[in-house]
Amino acid sequence: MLLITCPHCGTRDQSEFTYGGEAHISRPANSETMTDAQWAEFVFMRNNPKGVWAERWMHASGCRKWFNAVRDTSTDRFLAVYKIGEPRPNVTAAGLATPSGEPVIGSGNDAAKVMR
Amino acid sequence: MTAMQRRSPLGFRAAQHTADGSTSITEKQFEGKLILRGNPSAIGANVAGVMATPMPAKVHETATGPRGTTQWLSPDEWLILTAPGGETDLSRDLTAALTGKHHQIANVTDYYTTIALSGAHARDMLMKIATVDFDPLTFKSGMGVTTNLGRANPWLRATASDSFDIIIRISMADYLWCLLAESGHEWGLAGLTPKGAGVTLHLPHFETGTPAAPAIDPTPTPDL
Repeated sequence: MLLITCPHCGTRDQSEFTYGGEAHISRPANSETMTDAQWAEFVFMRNNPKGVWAERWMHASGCRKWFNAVRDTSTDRFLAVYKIGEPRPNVTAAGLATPSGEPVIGSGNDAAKVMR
Repeated sequence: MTAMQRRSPLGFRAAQHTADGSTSITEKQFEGKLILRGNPSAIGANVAGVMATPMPAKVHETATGPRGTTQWLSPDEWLILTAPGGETDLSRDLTAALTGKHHQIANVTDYYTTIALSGAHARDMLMKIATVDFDPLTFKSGMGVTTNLGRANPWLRATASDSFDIIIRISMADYLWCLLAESGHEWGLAGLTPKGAGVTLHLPHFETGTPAAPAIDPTPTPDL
């Protein structure tokens, strides 16, 4: 059971949340002067990092508010959650010891150790 | 002249009791329900004046006073429960108290219904179908929560240590009623089938290839 902490409601089961993609992407103010390529960049292009990134979630079955989260995509650990409008907290994930970066928990890989 | 009759969404369901009689599910019919939205720092004092209770400020908080119960739903949204028939007066009083303030009051009395779950096995029945922790040490009397029970998404409130009021949209009310009955089956509640279960869209002329003449049944729709 993956738990997600809503900044308004506290820790709840993942099934109560819906996902909203990458966070901190502002709609361009000058869309009438943009080229199709620039517009496509805004609409479609997203980062896909392995590691720490900021994303949006909505607590659909609770307070129905959107919020932002910083998650490590290689371990699925939520490093921080914060309300819409708040700046992204400066958090870093502990790196993974193995080159391929298997998650420590649930990976079944006992050799993977978190570096402190 | 035909008498106007108000029918509750679960009026066709009889109250259910466990074998030992300790736990029951019943419908609280026509409980008055209002949704209040606004900025708590702007409207809090005015609403508190009407309800004679402080406004719930964060998750799980509820406040019960002489006019009814206020439950926190989200940072700018509250559910206000009042006695059956009292929602009109309460809505009027709140509107008067909030004149000039940016707010919204919606009377949702007939959009939702209340299922009262009460008794020694109430928490056991909820624990079987919820992801929220209903341990008495965690979810205490007077606390409220919005969560999923099965596929339903009700508002819950612990009215006493082992009593819960579950407020659910009328379209999901019978599903939740039957889910609770199923959950309590091991303690002797009768297993129930939701109204409409197993009924799928059936278009005969799509299957036969010839349009069927619309059949009009002259008999009135029977009451459920």
